Amino acid sequence: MSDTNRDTLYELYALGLLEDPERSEIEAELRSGSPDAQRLLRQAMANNALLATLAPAAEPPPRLRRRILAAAGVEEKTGWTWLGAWGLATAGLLAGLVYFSTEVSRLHKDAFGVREELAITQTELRRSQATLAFLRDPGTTILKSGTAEERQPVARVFVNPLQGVLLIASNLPRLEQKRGAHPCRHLRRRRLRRRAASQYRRL
Amino acid sequence: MFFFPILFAALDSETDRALAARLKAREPEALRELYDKYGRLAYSVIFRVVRNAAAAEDLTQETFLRVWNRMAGFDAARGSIGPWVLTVARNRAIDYVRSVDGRMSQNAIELSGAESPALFVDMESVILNSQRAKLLKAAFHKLSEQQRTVIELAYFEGLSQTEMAERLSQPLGTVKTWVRSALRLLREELEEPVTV
Repeated sequence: MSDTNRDTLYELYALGLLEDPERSEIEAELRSGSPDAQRLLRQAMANNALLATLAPAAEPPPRLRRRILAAAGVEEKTGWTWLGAWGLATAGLLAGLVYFSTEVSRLHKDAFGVREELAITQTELRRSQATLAFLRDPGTTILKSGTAEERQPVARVFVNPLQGVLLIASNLPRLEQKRGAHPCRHLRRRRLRRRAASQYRRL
Repeated sequence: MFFFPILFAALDSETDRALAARLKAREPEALRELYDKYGRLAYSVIFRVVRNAAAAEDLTQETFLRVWNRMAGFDAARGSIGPWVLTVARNRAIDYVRSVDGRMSQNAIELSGAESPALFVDMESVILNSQRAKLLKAAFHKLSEQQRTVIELAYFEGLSQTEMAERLSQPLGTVKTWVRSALRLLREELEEPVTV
């Protein structure tokens, strides 16, 4: 038997194609422990394995990997499991809800503050308008007490027989701020009062 | 479409021996790597043989479990894990087809005996690399149509030469001639002989 023929016979044997009597002959060689026979069989196995590359490419489904690892008792390591994804989505939703509820609450507070400021301003405007109407009324007379130069409390008293009395004073002692009152509102009211007083003086 | 450009960049890696050692040490990550490296090719071989996706999945699973469970007998220092996986895959598929068809050939060797880990030593560095795969592909296309047919019938359908003769309605002697000449031509076309 030539070397080429032997190579071919071993390849046929490795492919499962060899038939008797040649198959029995090869098996006898292998049983004898011949290193040459082992070498030829390995070479044939190697060449046969290479034939696998002639198979048209087919894509296994992704679940096959999970199946195999699970069957082998190996936990599959994935970047994102469904559980993880759901957990993340839920956490994101909760975070979003907390954020939006906080924002809504803040906006409510802001709106309430604006409404309160508007009410105060409207009240002060009505008072100013009433004061102005009082001062402009022809029946109002002025009574003075003290002078501005003295840096002492100075008062002007407007008396209207039909509407009543209006006292405008300056250089008064400083008022103690009430606990809990908003300092800005006091300042604003004082500013408004000073402005009104200035207007009244011009009158 | 064939595998050469995509797959064999991975197949010829020198890290296969390290991978085999880790498989032998039962490292779970090594099984993942083994599947990622050879799963697609093994599945393709099996699918080509059985032509049924569900059966191909089952047989691919059986292939990898068989390798995983038989690593104890594998020589990690000298063994060639890739050819072993592919041989097991092909043999599982052929066995399946034979059992389905009820055609267990008397002449066919016991395939499970042909996948002993001991047969896959000292071949790794030369067997599955892109250069040899390209050579084989080129050589395969140089064969005559009859030669290509018998090689495919033998490798992918597991037919014996007698069965091929019946299938092709040709004399047994003619089929034997086609098979042997095809194997010889393929071997000769492979530039570098396998050193074992």
